[in-house]
Amino acid sequence: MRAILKHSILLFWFLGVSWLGVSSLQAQKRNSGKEAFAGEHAEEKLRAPAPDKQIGDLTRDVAAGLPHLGAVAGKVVVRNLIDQHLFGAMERDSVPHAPISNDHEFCRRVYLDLTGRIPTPEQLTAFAADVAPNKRDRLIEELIGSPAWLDHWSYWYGDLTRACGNRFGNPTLKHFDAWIRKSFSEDKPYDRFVTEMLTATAPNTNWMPDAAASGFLTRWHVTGQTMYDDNHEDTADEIVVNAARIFLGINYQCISCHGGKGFLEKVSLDLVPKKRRDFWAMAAFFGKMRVRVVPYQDRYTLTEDGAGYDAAGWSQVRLQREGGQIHPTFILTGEKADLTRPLRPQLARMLTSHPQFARATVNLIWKQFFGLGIVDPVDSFDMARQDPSASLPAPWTCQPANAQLLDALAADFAKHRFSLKRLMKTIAQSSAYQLSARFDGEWKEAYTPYFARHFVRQLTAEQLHDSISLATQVFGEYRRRDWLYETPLPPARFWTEASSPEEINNGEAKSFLRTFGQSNREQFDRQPGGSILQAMTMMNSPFVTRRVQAANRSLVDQLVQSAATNPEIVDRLYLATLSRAPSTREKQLALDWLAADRRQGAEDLQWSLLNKLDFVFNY
Amino acid sequence: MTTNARNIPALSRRELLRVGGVSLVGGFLNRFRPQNVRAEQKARPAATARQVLFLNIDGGMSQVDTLDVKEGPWTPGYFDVRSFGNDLKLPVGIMPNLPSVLDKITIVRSMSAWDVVHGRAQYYIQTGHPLNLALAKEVPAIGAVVCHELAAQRKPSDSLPAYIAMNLAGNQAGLINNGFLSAEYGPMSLSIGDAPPNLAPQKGMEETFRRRWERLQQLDGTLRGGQHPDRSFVDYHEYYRGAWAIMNDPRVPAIMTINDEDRKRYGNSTIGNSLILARNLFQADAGTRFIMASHGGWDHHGNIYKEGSRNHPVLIRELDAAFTSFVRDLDAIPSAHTPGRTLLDETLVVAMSEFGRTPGPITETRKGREHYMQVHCGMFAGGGVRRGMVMGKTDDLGGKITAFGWEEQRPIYMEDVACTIYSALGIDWTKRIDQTPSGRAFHYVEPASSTKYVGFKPVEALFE
Repeated sequence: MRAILKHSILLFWFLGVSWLGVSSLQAQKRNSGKEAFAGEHAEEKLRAPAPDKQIGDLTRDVAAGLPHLGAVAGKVVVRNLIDQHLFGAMERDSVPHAPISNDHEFCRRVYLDLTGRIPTPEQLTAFAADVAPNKRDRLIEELIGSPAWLDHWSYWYGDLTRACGNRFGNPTLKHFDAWIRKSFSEDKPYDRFVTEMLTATAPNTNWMPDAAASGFLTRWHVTGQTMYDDNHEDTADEIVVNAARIFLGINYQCISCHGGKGFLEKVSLDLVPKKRRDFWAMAAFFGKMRVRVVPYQDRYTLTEDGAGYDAAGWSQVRLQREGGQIHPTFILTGEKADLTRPLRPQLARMLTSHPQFARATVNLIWKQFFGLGIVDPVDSFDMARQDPSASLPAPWTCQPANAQLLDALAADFAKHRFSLKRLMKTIAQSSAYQLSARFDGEWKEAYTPYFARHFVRQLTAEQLHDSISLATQVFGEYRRRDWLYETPLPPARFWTEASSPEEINNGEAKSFLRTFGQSNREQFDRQPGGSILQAMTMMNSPFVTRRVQAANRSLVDQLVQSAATNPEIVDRLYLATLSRAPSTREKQLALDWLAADRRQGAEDLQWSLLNKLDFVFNY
Repeated sequence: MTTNARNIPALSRRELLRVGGVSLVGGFLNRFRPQNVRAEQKARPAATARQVLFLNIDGGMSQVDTLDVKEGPWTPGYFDVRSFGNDLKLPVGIMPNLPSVLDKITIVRSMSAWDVVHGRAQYYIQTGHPLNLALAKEVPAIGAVVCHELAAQRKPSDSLPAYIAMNLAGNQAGLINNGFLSAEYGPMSLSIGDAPPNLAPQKGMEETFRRRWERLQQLDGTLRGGQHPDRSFVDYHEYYRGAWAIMNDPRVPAIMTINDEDRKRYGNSTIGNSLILARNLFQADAGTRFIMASHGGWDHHGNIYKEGSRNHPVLIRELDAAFTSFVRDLDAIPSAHTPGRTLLDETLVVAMSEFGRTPGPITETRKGREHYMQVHCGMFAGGGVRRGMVMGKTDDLGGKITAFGWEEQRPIYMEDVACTIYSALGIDWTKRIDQTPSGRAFHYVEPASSTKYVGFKPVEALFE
């Protein structure tokens, strides 16, 4: 009797929790997200659902403080399919949008997004002086493929794949990084890029640079009972979770431990009926692959001699599995693998030819330019909610902010041989991307899914590091290690020239980057958001204060020593630091400081500009 | 957390999974809305401590070469192993100071880990949770949960952050932050080397700093005015205000000072310097309630006994000097809150690694010890912890626990340590928060681990 009572109470409790989940979701939908969440949990000081969702607020806040710079008025030109969809939707729904950014705003943004650092005064001046009508297109084409673009995007891809020497060995990091750079540089079609990673083998990851693509897989090696053996099934699980996260934008982590039913009702419509077995069937594509650590040698082997994926295998990192051998099956289509042929090439074909691959990829790249994905977070795709014409059970709605745009952009990407360069060009050359962050009417949260203005983000740690160096003309000249021979490589000037957060040994710069949320690639993506320590670092760390000193050929030093007049110095420091000219009031303030003490005034001015809140943001 | 807690009966993870297949019905269940579910029977936090120092012995300290020393042909002569009763033997050659504080601390030799990979196991140490990448972004560190719970006790004069992490930047798990909790509960990450970090204006630049601050307010007034309607922008400026408050707190320069006598007594090392600052922070009572100080470099796969470099004898001497000086100092400082008690009485000190190292002979190839999760050891002191106790026992080689030393006849896991920390601070460790970004409830401590089913609880045997 007691047991029955106990169980019915349990059941009741559980149902209560589940219902609560759905009802709060409904509430959230009704009240359009953030406000509902904040109101409901204000007393608990919970953070909003995801930092990404705050982007509307952040943008409004930052942009409102920016000075008017005479943004180009007039009707926006529809330049490509992105504009057709976005401005079409805005026109249809009478949503107002921001004007096109002015040259300085655009120039700073496009340099940060494409090359990870602000433009130099020379680059800015030349661009502003250029009268050619297609100068923006030309700048974009010039930047895509430039050495700085290669540094920035290779580093970003290393973060995305969490390429980490601690995990797959330092020599592999070097080879994998070189391979990523090469792939970006030659604009390797992204389906092939991914296929090479998924199908790589490497009898020895140290000495076979041509097997460098294997780094993607060996990085997810999971140890067994001791650190020198491997847990075969756990390794396959990790690979699938991360391949799906990066290449499909889908989070299968949840169903790697339990079925969707009873858990994911308010997370993903598509995953509710999915079972752990469906996940194992994906992992089984890696059943014949084997990643082994080579003891004491900082390397792995990746071979094709696995005994298959055995769901009875002991799990070190998840709830125990059950069952036996699983037939490899592609989760999105149900297509079963032909067991007589190698498995991984079959998975690579099924994955890269599925529309979701292109969709997730364009969304991922989009997010880097707009700060907000068309589906956001970018690894939260719900496959049941991608078709705008499908009828969905309440309270669900179609997931993408603009499903037609996402599909059209994905199709365009696939049609043009999965060219990442072309995709970036399409995005950056659209009028939608070039809208100003400044919005002069009353901004409504409902405008956010239309991308009716440009959204503002904090600079990443690496962007901030590289931009401070560039603005002050004081570079770290960091020594890099060659992992293979433990010899120094030529020094790096910009952090993004490194292959990983660990490649460069410099305590001061490392601590600066960690403070600003740099990923260590070991366990986490970068950690967004501000902190007291960030403010303290910007104001008080020698990393910053040394750079604004009038010494050692810093920019301030050069200017103060030169014959430049005080107004010229002020203009130059504004251009070099904030990528714009000062307002009349700003200029007068600065001139007063310089008049009192030219050297001290110039130092204080650049210090203040670096600590000005708009320097820390990409707008 | 609201306090309209209901006592809902126990629901273990296993049971949750079993009923997990039931379909959803009925809105009338709304009134069961659980804000604060007791996952186990009613929790009674001990509330014996005000603050916590967690000494993170990062990399995996060899239990058989320290607190659970096992001698064999491999043991170097300089270990000078001696007996101290209670079956306790210590290598006093490399731990010369510890015997002098044995009457103030408890040594635990019956701990186990869940994992042998540094990153994952270190994540455990910082959060008390298994690493689940699906949830990692929202899981807060133990220190952040503590700040969240103790926020109401913060005084207006508390300029320093409640949670300070020292030398965690190079940690393989990264520094775990506030997760889904408010950013103000995240750790301030300090890097302590030979010199303390600059929390006050750089020496000789005080005047410059104040002038620049004034100028910055003039220049950036539109973005910094407190009246600005923009929430997130105000937030970012709030960080500047927080920084300003610390940099202008007259107590801070003294807190962030390491004098030569202390430096020497604490062993003249980064961990020694960290613990001097930790002592200063707790003594000043300027807002800091949880400190995690990391002592890195314990991953001794090779040349573990070789003197010099950063091998075992060097690190254990550093730890020995730092830990014993810290405990002794705290026990000599009177409590500012309770007459007749010492600062140690109100400070829970936990010193432990993420896992142990392989017992028995050292490896032939590299003369070291590998990662080992079955046994490791730790030291507890203060905050109500018994003085002069040794808990747990292992077999002849130190590879298997033969006596657990507490009421649960199983090893002590990190979850139990987390329960212990929460309990000592007066926090109900069975709390859960349902409204998380992922929608999945956050338990302060998982009622059961992800790989085995165990009911976790505070190690009450540790306390007086």
